[in-house]
Amino acid sequence: MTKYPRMNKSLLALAVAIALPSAYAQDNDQDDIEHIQIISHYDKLRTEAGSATLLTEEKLGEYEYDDIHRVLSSVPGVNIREEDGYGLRPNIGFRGVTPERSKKITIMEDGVLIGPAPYSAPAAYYFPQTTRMTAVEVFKGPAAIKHGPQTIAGALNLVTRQVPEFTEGAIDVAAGGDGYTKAHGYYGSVVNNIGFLIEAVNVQADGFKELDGGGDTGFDKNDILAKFNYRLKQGNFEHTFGLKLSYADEISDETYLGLTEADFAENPYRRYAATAPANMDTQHQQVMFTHNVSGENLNLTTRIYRNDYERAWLKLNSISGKSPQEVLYNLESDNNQRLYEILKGEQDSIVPGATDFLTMGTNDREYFSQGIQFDGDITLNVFDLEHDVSFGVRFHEDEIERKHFEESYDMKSGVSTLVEGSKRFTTLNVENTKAWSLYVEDQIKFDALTIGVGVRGELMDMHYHDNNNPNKWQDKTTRIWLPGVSGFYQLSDDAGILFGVHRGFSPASPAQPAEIEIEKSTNYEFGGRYNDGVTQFEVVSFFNDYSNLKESCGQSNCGDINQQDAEFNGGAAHVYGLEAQFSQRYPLNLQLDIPYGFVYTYTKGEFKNERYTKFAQWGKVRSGDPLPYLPDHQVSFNIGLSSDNWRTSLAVKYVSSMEEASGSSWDIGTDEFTLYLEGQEVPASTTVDFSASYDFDKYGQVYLKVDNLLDEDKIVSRRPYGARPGKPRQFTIGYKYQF
Amino acid sequence: MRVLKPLSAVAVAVSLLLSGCGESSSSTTGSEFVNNDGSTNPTNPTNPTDPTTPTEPTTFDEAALVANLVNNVLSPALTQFHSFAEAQQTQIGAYCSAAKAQAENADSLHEQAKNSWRAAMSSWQYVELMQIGPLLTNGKELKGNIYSWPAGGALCSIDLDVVYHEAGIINGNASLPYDIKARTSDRKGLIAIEHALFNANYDHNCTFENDALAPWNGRTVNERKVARCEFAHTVSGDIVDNSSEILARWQGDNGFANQLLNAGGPGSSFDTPHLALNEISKALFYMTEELKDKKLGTPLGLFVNSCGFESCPQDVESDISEHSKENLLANLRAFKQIFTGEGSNTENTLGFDDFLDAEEGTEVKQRMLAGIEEAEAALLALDGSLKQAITDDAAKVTEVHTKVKNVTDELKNDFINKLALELPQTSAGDND
Repeated sequence: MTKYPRMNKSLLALAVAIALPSAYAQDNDQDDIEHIQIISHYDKLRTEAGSATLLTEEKLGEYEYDDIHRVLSSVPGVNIREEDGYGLRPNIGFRGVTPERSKKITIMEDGVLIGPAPYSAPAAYYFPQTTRMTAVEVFKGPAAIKHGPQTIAGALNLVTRQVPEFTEGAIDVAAGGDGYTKAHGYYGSVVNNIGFLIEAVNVQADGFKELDGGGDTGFDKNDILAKFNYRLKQGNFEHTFGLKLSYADEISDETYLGLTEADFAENPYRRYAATAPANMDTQHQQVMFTHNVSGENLNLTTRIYRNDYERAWLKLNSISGKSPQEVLYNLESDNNQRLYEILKGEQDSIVPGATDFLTMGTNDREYFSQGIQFDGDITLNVFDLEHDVSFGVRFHEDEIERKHFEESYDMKSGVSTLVEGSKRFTTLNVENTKAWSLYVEDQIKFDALTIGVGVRGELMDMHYHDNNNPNKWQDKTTRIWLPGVSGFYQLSDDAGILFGVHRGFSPASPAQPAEIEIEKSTNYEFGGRYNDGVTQFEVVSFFNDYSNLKESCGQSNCGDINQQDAEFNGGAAHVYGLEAQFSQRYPLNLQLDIPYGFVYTYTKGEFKNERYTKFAQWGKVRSGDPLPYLPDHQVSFNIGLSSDNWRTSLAVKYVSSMEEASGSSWDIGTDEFTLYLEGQEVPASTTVDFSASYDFDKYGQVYLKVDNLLDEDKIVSRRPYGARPGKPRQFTIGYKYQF
Repeated sequence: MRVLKPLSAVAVAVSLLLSGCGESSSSTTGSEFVNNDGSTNPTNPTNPTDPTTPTEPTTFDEAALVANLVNNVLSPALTQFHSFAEAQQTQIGAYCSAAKAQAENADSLHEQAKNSWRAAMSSWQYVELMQIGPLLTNGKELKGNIYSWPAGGALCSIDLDVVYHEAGIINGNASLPYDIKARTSDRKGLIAIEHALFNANYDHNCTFENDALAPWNGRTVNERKVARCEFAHTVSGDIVDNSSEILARWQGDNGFANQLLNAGGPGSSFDTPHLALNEISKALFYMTEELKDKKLGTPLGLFVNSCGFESCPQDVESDISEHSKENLLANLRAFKQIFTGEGSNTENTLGFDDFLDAEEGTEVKQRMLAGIEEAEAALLALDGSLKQAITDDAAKVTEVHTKVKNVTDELKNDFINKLALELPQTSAGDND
């Protein structure tokens, strides 16, 4: 994270901001249009209903994280499945929804949907560069119904830097292990009432994995952001017009292929020779116009946006027609030992008696996402009751065009080479959605009780067609209304009780037949808050009652190319848990404070029916079987020590073990299904991150951070194709200068 | 109390919304959308045996068709292979004894052993096209132990097992006794025997030598012949064992044959005879990917092969023995047996052709029968082995491919549509 602390902030404010796992916003961060909901000041009891968490610029700057997984590790109710160690393609879930490609949460940047195609293909292969964000907002429970289409779990809003009111700029350069470098800078000012901001980031690394035969395993990411605004005052109303332009690209040497257990035990950071050609190439552009008008009782924001994204990921799909998981998990079957040795480059593809090529697939996809949305807020007094009415309407269109193809690669003497002319197209199709959505929520104050009543509607016209077959198409219309109610009862100046219930849903993709049941749930939450300005404590319990839990296959979570984009019904399921956070500061003396905080999440997810599925993470499930990749316990502990010009912080995160698969393999009649990874677990892990900084006042700030201080090297996941490690210990030293 | 009235209204509104919140979904689709391409858009049934119920019940006696196919086509193919497998074991045993004793008739017994392999292989190729029931379970484990093609075949792996078998231990490790049952399918079965009996190159095929393999190339040819033969003998015994296991699972009161025959009755995993017929029909799709694409298309260079995208004679099936044409012929005849029902009992020839007649599919039947005949004629018109034909006259092999494709086109479209059968997921992708 490149976050530039404001030098004149009081020690107290900084200390609390560091300490609070869910530190609350500063006043001056609340009313800009990048934020989508005002969250109360840190030193007062929050009286809004619904679960909302804000990570401020100070909090984000504490550890200078580039990985959203690490950023969210101190937010309660977040479940994560790590994958590449750098968080290039995050897997984030809230309250037990599947974390796969963050497809079950609504992801926004500056209040607009930022996923490549949130309705048509919600897997978030594009994720904004976290390091340039100045705040991260997390909404769960009824608070999420304002932010669809995914409303079961919640919403995540990433807030980019706002145009400054005065001339301001900064640079941040850093270097670390495994070839890591970061160069980040911005400059903004106001000229003739027109404010502007230019920001650019480059983050790259050679990678921490060791490729057989040598070569990079890292990434190179660029981000450029330009913003302009114009403010105008007319009578009692203030208008702000904004234009935002952004560009991002990424080249990464990423693969889905992991290791066998034995190879992982020997060297967790090894990468087989077959992955050498792997390459992810992406580009993203965004254009957004905004207008905000605000007065004493009214605030109305209009956003018009267009996102274009394209990606082509070359990676191993199979070897001699077999999925790599089938090979790596069954070395004692068929010719799998030979195929495994080809993956390692120890055998050639062509030998006397056998020809076994590597099949590398390039999932080449183009997306767009565009729309116009109005969000408003008005305060009224009706029948002697205070009403705070939020409302919004959005027309959104998104599309994914798949142009997938495969090519054969010949492994010879440890080097994998393209077989010229072997390109063949596999999936060629288009999915498109045009969606109207609207919401209205009224927060009504009855003395100490605030009740929020709201409803969200989604009307989706979806289209699918196969470019290989003109008779294979579908036009589908789906309409759904999702009500919710939430409340907060203030017991005293320092304490209160919150509760809520809402319907959540997750849209089915345009290619899924209309008769396929969509995912729906009824979600409940109940809890309490305490805040006396020194101690903050919040406990929220939740219960999500799914009438039908759904999953879909991508290569990352299934691994079976034949099941690509298939959707599966899991039937009734329950997810329940408890989110607790506590923070306090301990004054050591007049100069030094020790701020500290805990966050604890308990989550239990289980099926409530019995069924046979062919989903790669379920198999045959029975009532009571746990949901995969959902840890029972997550604990994070943050402690800091800070003075006028120096600061240290330590973050400890414990995640209990997680099931890699839910049910069991099955064999009925003539049908059978092998559930790979049945009974296996991602082991529990404890990760410690450390950071420290020294402020040279007008000469800038030097910082040092150590990610994974204890050099934990446990398996973070075995999907899709074998065991993969998290990031090893990484030292980074950086320098920041702000003017 | 002023709070209660609006609160009640809120409660009622929310209850109504939560209990009956509006939801609807409707669609219009293209003509081929319903039959989803399994590879791009499959759905998963709650019940794994997803029924493919005809829209209108047929008057055709599907149970009688199942009975004829089971009793007169499928069961005889399995029992016939078993007898050929036993004969092969006997012949190889005789050859080994003679080779070991360096007897005069060793060469003659070698030829007889090869012939026994040819007979067993031809017989197996009938079964190869009849992969249902116990041949499919547990990832085709039993089938793979007998014939692992198209996987496997790396000669180095087999060479290693020859020396391990001879030593009785794996790579000099006394704690790892050689057990054919524990060896992977790519190192045994009919492919391993083919290499052991037919390969005239007695050097090993590995690019590296471990301690066990290192002395191999320095030994006499006869020593190596004997080692290969004894290995082949052990493998042939393992084939008999696996064939016995298949028969055990096929026959008997609880066998798979009875599951098919009693479809719709108690104890059968098939709810209707139609579902049993559907299961048998899936075996016919061997002709699409394996026969057309792998056995013909790949060596012709229509798909990537070890020569790139050119005709590649060495990529034919049963390359060493040059038995690929006979394999194809057996496959085509097995297909024809299932299609026509013409099996061991010439008086009962109830087949899919009759089912097509009953379902107004006579024209489809005629096109398929003609296609099968033409494919067989084109195959028999090849001079010499398939390997030789690809070298000398690839156009003739292409003609065989074309004729086979005519049949598979019918199979994947009109055949399954007329008879309300299911397109297997493995055949859903179109390689044509």
